[in-house]
Parts: sequence; structure tokens; C-alpha cells
Amino acid sequence: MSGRHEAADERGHGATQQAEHGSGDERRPEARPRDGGAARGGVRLADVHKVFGAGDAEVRALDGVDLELAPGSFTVVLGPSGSGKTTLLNVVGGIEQTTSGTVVVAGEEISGRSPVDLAGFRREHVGFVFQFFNLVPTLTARENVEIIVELTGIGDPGRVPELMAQVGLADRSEHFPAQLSGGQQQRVAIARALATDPDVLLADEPTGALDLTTGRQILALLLDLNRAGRTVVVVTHNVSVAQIADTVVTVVDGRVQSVERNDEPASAEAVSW
Amino acid sequence: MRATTRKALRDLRRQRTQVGAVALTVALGVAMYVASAGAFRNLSTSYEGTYERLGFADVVASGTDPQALADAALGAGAAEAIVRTTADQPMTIGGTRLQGRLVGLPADAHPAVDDVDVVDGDYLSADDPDGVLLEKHAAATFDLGPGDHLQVLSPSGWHEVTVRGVVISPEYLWPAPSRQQVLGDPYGFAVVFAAEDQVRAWSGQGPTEALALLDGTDRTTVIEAVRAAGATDVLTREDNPSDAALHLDLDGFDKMSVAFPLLFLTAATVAAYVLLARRVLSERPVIGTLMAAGARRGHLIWHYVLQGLLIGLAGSATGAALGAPLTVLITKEYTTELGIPDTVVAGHPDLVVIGLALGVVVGAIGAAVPAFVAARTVPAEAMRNQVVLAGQGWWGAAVSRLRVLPATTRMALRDVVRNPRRTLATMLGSVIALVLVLASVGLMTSMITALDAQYGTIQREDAQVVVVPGTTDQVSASLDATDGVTTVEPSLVARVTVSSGDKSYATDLQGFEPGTAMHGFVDGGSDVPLPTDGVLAGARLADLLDVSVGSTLTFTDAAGATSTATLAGFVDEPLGTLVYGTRQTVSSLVADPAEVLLVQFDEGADRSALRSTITTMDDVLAYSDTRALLTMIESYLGLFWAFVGVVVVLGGVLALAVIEVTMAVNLVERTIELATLRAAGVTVRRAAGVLATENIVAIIAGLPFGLVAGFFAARGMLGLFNSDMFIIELDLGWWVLGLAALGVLLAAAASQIPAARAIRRLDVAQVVRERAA
Repeated sequence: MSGRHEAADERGHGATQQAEHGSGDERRPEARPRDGGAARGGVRLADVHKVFGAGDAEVRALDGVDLELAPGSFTVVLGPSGSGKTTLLNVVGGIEQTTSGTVVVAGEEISGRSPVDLAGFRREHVGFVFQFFNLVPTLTARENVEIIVELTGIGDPGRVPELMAQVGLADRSEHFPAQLSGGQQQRVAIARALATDPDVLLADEPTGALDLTTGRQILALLLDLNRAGRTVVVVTHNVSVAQIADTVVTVVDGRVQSVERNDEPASAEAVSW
Repeated sequence: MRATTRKALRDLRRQRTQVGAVALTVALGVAMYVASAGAFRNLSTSYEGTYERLGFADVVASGTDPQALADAALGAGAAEAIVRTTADQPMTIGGTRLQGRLVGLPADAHPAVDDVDVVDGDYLSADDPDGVLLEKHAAATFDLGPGDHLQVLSPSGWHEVTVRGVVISPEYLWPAPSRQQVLGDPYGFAVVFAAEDQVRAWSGQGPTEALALLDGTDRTTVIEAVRAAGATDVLTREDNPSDAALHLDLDGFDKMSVAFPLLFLTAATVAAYVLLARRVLSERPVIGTLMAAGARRGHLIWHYVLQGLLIGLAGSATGAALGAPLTVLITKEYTTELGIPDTVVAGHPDLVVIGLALGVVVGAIGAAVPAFVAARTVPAEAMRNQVVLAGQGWWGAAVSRLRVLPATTRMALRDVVRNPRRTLATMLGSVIALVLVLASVGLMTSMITALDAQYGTIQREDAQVVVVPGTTDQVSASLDATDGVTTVEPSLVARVTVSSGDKSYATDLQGFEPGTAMHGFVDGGSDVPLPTDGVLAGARLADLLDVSVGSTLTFTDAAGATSTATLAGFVDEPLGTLVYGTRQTVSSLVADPAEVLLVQFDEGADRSALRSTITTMDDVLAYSDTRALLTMIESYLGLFWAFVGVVVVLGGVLALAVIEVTMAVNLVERTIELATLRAAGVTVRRAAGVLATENIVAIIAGLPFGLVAGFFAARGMLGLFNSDMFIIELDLGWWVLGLAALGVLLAAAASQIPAARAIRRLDVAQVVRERAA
């Protein structure tokens, strides 16, 4: 993997940051082949702090993060356990409010917004995929996607079969989670995240509970979704996953330690653990 | 169907046992409400129908000139007013001498007021002067019908009459001779209706009272008019002993339609709350995911409230479906038992609607808090898979100091404040169970204590024997010589109206020997002597006449003569409000009181044989077994305790339902800890012990509140029934409180069994694997 930190390329891929670390290579990365559709999403964080607790129990989960991810980029956030990478993802997704700083996602500034406003923002712009699939056990795969459409009022229920096909589960739509493998459940979770057609797809350890083969399939699916123009951010502690990203952000102790451009992102098949 | 609706239905099906338990509790509450409220309405309507058809008197006035009273009533706007003679005369029916009541009716036509309904045989006829009508209860007790004979004592001696018909009277739907004898010996009282002229001849009295039917006229106006016309006593319809007794029963239905459903529905609300709180807790990661996707709060709230509504509606629909036929059953059984002719068995759609609504309210209230908690889920926190705990505060610090205790015990003790709402719900479970148990058991124990006091401490005689005036000594000697009789004591009884100022009360005045062995006088738990000067009165008289010790009471006897006496003190008596004096005092207050011999029997004496022997003695006019009521109650005691047993079981089930559901939540909260303990080799018994300790601590914490609430609930329920006819003090012995508390603890202990099973079923590997990843 080769990389640099600089402004986003003119196709919308890449990242800029003011981190002190990283190489000084000025080459622009090769654009990931796109399936069509304009690049959308994009993330910008400026001097973001997130503090949990107070006094002796204070934990600075994010400590002055500056980061810019271009629309349509595929970013992998790496970092050791407790480094703040999940908090970073949550802040970008608007499920965690910042203590201070500015967060702009998909062109909308979300810092300082109320929880209700943030929920509205998420409905319009963000999709989440978690390590544990968190599917409703009493609903079929299709219904697990439909329920998001119902509860958010966003999206078209008629599009659910298409989403199921997109994640390769057209023939498993009527199965309950207990009847699906871990990889299939994660696919359902991805379809669920896509139900509102988000600009930004955020995945927290999406392969953490999966075996290698299944994990590769999920990563390939995420790459496909990125090719459609969505900004994808994947948080993982697995360094190998970084191979497929065009941007790799390393977080340590709540700070961005480096932002590296990967000029030649690998395919999901190259990943191993 | 929407995905959320499908989820709701499938979730409920997955927890069908617990959902069923909550729905069943709702169903019981709603069924009780619909059945008791419906029966109350039907019975009220039935009574009113009978009252209206038979012209049940609104006002009964007695005085020296009843015709003048009737005229006054008519002048004041009464629709109808008649005069008649009512007299208590000894009778002999089927060989039994008893206190009978003769009531005069027109010989050929039905009266306009207080008519009778002939259910067997014929009405009176002028051509059959010795033909009489026998009230239905007496006919049933003595198994008499048209053509049978009985004897009435007249001034010329015993006079045989023939039963022409068996009748129902609005005045005697419940056959009580007076408000002081609402519950009595069925073989000691009978009502006979005869031609007015005959009643006057047999009793030696003219018309004794005026009866008025108001039909919308202002009652106060009529009462004032008859008082102005010389009425010494005025009774309204509500003063009638039968009506008062029946209303006590009706009031019971009325109160029951509120109290018991309230308990059940409260328990159901708590159980629904805990059930859905558990669901929300277990679905926290899913809810977090949905919230992360921007799910609208309103939609989430509705999703969980919908589940509460479905549970409540399922329960209330079942309850309403059960309640409707139960209403019909209760009404029919009740009216048949009492012989109320105009039985109205109507459906009450509004009660069904209210019942359904109650279930909906229970579901909505039970689901509201969990639903709002779900909607307030912070996605990031939910994703951390950790339950947000309340701070441990002083309790946690205090437990920390108890280092002598094992760590598992300290953990259990700390867990009590881990989720305060769940702990409160568990406590509430024990409170509700105790309220239900103590309110029911308290009624029963208080009743038994009251009867023990009435027939052990207060009324010490076994039987009352009314004798021909002037024959007390002879009959007393005969009784003394009778096998099985241990003690005989003379007394006097007179029907009087006691008044003070503008208030009056009809009651019995009884005269005893000074230092009588037949009656105990108790005030505030202490014995009081029978005063040689003045009278003692039942404590309720203070309120009835607004009098106190030292007040002057005016006594009016059946002949209208008046006299006065000083109120020397009050006595606490459970049954009736009577006035007592020495025989000398009574003789000075009223003319010609009835001479009554009070008799005590050997223990184990054959009471039936003694009744036969005594009632055939010369100069014995009537006989009444004082203990007939107690004997009857004792014969039904097994049934009463079975009822108490059912209520105790219901209370236990309620406690179990609430505790079981709260413990299920407990298990969900602590899956990781329990799995970790199990992985470390901790036995199921020890792991379950941690949960059990916490639950038992919460239950024990709820016990004092439950005992206090149960005590006041029992006292409140008794208070609802107290009147001048019954004054029953709450008697909840320490043993009752102790047993009730022990019962709830046992129910709590029993509910640990499913918890242990759940811990045994825990897939330790899966839980540890999932959480460790």
C-alpha cells in the first residue's frame, strides 16, 4: 500500500487532514472504478473533542480530531482497542454528540444539533452496519429491512426485494435470522442500512464476527456499494482490511495519528486474517 | 400487514406464557368488574321492579292515630296512603312456637301500598276469614303450602288458621323482624298476612301504622307532615330491615366491582410493565440499531405501546366475554335464592365497553414507560451492549462494609438498587398480594371474632323463650327441671322508639337481672355493669340520635306512651343497636313488655330436642334459638375458609406473576454475569441463589408496606359494611399478618424455580463468545 495525505482528488476520492504524520507523496490515487452514480456523502471534522465522564473518571475519547473524507471515498479507520475509532464513527454518524468541534457530513453540519435533529439527519444521510448484526429475531430477512422503512418513513418498501437481491439474498428473504449464517445475517444488516438510501455507510467491525471467507464477501459487498458513489467508512482493528481502502486513517489515544492514501486499493480477496 | 405489527404479534407469541399470565390477570379483573357491576345493576333493577309493582311503601309512620297520619301524607302530596295493623303475635307452625308477625291486608282486594305477590295458592277472601297468606321464607322453612294449618295466639287463645296462599312481600324479601335481628333463627320468625279485621281481632289492636306511596312527591315534606300529625316513629324505605339487609348485599357487589378489579388490574399493569421493560431491555441493541438508522421516536413508542394494548385487549376481551354470562348467572342465582319475583337479567353493553377500555388502559399504562425508555435509547450506548446502571450510593457503600458476607451475597444485596424500577415492581407485587389476602382474610377473621364476641361474651344465652305474661316463675321452674337446661333467667323485651330532639330510632329495649349471667356489657374492651338507674345503648346510637352519656332519651312504646331515661353509657356490640336496662328500669319505661326467659344449655345438648320439649310447655308463646345463626355459620365455615383459600391462592398467583416477570428481567440484565459465573464453575444453585437473594430482599422490603396497606384495606372494606345493624371491628391477629407475609415469601421462593431452570438453560459458551468478540 502506498499513500499520502492531501486534498481530495478531483474525482472525489481521497482525503485531506492536518495531521502531523504521513508521507509527502503528491501523486493522485487511481480512481476506483465506479458503477455509475455521482459521488455523495463526504465527511469533515474540525478540532473535534469528545469527553466521557468528568473529574477523575474523565475519558477523552476524541482529542482534537481534524479529518476530511471526500464524497465517494472508501475509508478504513484503524486503531488499537480503546483508541477512539468507534467514537469517531459514532460522531460521524450522529449517534454520539461531540463535546466541541465541527462535524460536517454530506454537506450538513451536525455538531451541536439536538438528538431529534440528529435522528432526522441519520434518516436522510447515514446507514450503519455493526459487528453484531442486531437483527430482529422475530422478523424475516425482508421484514428486517422493511421495518426500517416503516420506522423512519424514508425509503420505498417496494424497493426492499431489490435491496435483498443487491446483497445476494433474494432467495433467503423469507428466512428468519436464526435460519441464516453469520455472513447472511450481516448482509441483511447491510441491506437494512441501505433501506433509506444513505449517502454515507458506516460499518463498525463489520467482519469482526465472521470467518475469513464470509468476511471477504461482506467487504466485497461494501466495495460494491462504494462504487455506486456512497462514502463508506469502515472501523476495524484488522490491519489487513486496510488494503481495500483508498484512505486509511489511524487513530491512537483519541487523535488521528495518520491519514494515508492507498493508490492501489486491493480487492476483498486479498484480505486475510 | 406492517413489519412492526408482525414483530409485535410474533414477540407476544414468543412470550406467550408470560403474556398469557398478564392477559389472564386482566381477564380476571375485567370479568370481576363486568360480572359484579352488571349483577349490581340487575339486582337493583330487579328490586326496584318488585318494589314498584307491589307498591313498596316509601314512608311508614306509626302513632296513636294512623288514619290521621295517612290523611296527612295524602295532604302532603303522597300518591297513596293506607292504614293497617301490624302486630307481633306468638304462633305455632309445624309444632314449633315462634314469634310471628301478623300483617293486615284488605280481605277482597289487593292493597295500594305494600301489596303481596301470590306465588302459590290464592289471595285472601272475605268468604274465608280464617284463611291466611304465609310469607315465602317461612313457608319454605316449615315446608307449608296452601291447605296447611298453623296457629295464631289471640286474646281468646290459640286460633287455627289455614294457609290460602304463599306470598312474596316487598317488606320481607329478606325475612328480618327488625334492624336488630337482621340475621336470626329461621325457625324463630314468620310473617302471616291476614284480613285486616282478623288481625285486629287476633292482636287486640286497631290500625297501628300508616303507609304512604309517594310517586315523586318530596319525601321530606311528607315526613314533616306525618310528624306534625303525631307520628311517633317514621321509617323510610331505606329503614326497612329487609331493604337495608339487601342493600348491604348490593353494596357488597358495588364495592366488589371496584375493589377486586382494581387490585387485579393494578397487578396486571405492573406485570405488563415488567414484561415490556424486559422486552425493551433485551432488544436494546436492536433498538439502538433502529435509532441509529433514524427511526422516529413516535413510531417506536407506538410499537411497544401496541404490544401493551394487544395484551390488555386480549385480556379484557376474554374478561368481558366471561363477565357477561357470569352477570346472568349471578343475577339468576341470587334472585332465585332470595325469591325476588321480578328478575331483570339485562346485558350491559356499556360495562363491556368499559371492561374492554380497562384492559386497554392497563396495557397502555403498563407499556408507556418501557416504550418511552425504548424511544430514549441512545444508539451509541445501546451498541456498547451495557446496561446503564443506577448509582450504588449509600447502599452500595454500606454493603461494601459487610465484608463478613460472601461476595455473592454482597453482589445480590447491591443488585437491589441496580434497577430501582424493577425492585419497586417486585415490592409492589408483594404489596398487592398482601392487600388482596389481608382484605379478604381480615373480613373473615373479623366476622368470626365478632360472632365469637356476640355469642360468647355478649349474648350468653342459648335460647329465648317468650312466655304468657305473669307465668315467668312457673315456666322458669319447668325449664329448670328440664334435662339439658343449666340456667334460666327472666328478662323483659319491648319494641320501642327511642328519640332525642328531632331524631328517633326504632329498636328493642331489653331488661335483665342486675348482675345478669346472660349478657355481657363491654365498652372499649372493659366490662361495664348494668346501671340500676338509666340505660346502656349500642355505641351507634350516639351517631343515630346525636346523643352522649348523660343525655336524656325518650322512649315511646307500641301503645304510644312515652317516658324518659338517662343514657348511662355505651356498649360495643357487633350485631344490632339495642338499649339495655335492669328489668325494673324497663318495667318503669314501658307498659306490658314481653316476658322472656333466657336459657343456657348443657354443652352438647340436643338443641333440636330441647326446642321440641320447650315449645310444647304450657304458657310458652315463642321460642328462638339464639345460636342458630352461629350454628349456621359454623356449618358453612368450611365453605368460608375455602373462599379464603381461593383468595389467598389468587394473591399468591398475583405475587408469583409479578415476581416471576420481574425475575425474568433480572435474568436478561445479568446474562453475562451469570454466564461468567457458570463458566467459572459456579453451580446453578449458587447462581440462582444470587438472584433469589435479591428478590427476597425486595420482597421483604415490600412486606411492611404490604402489611400496612393490607391492614388499612381490610379496615376500609369493613367500614363500608358498618351500620346500625353491623358494627364489626377489624381483627387481624399477628398470626394472620405473619402467615400472610410467610405466604408471600413462599410464593417468592417458589418463583425462584423457573429462574434456576433459566440459568440451567443458559448457553454459557454462546454468551461468553458473543460478548468477548
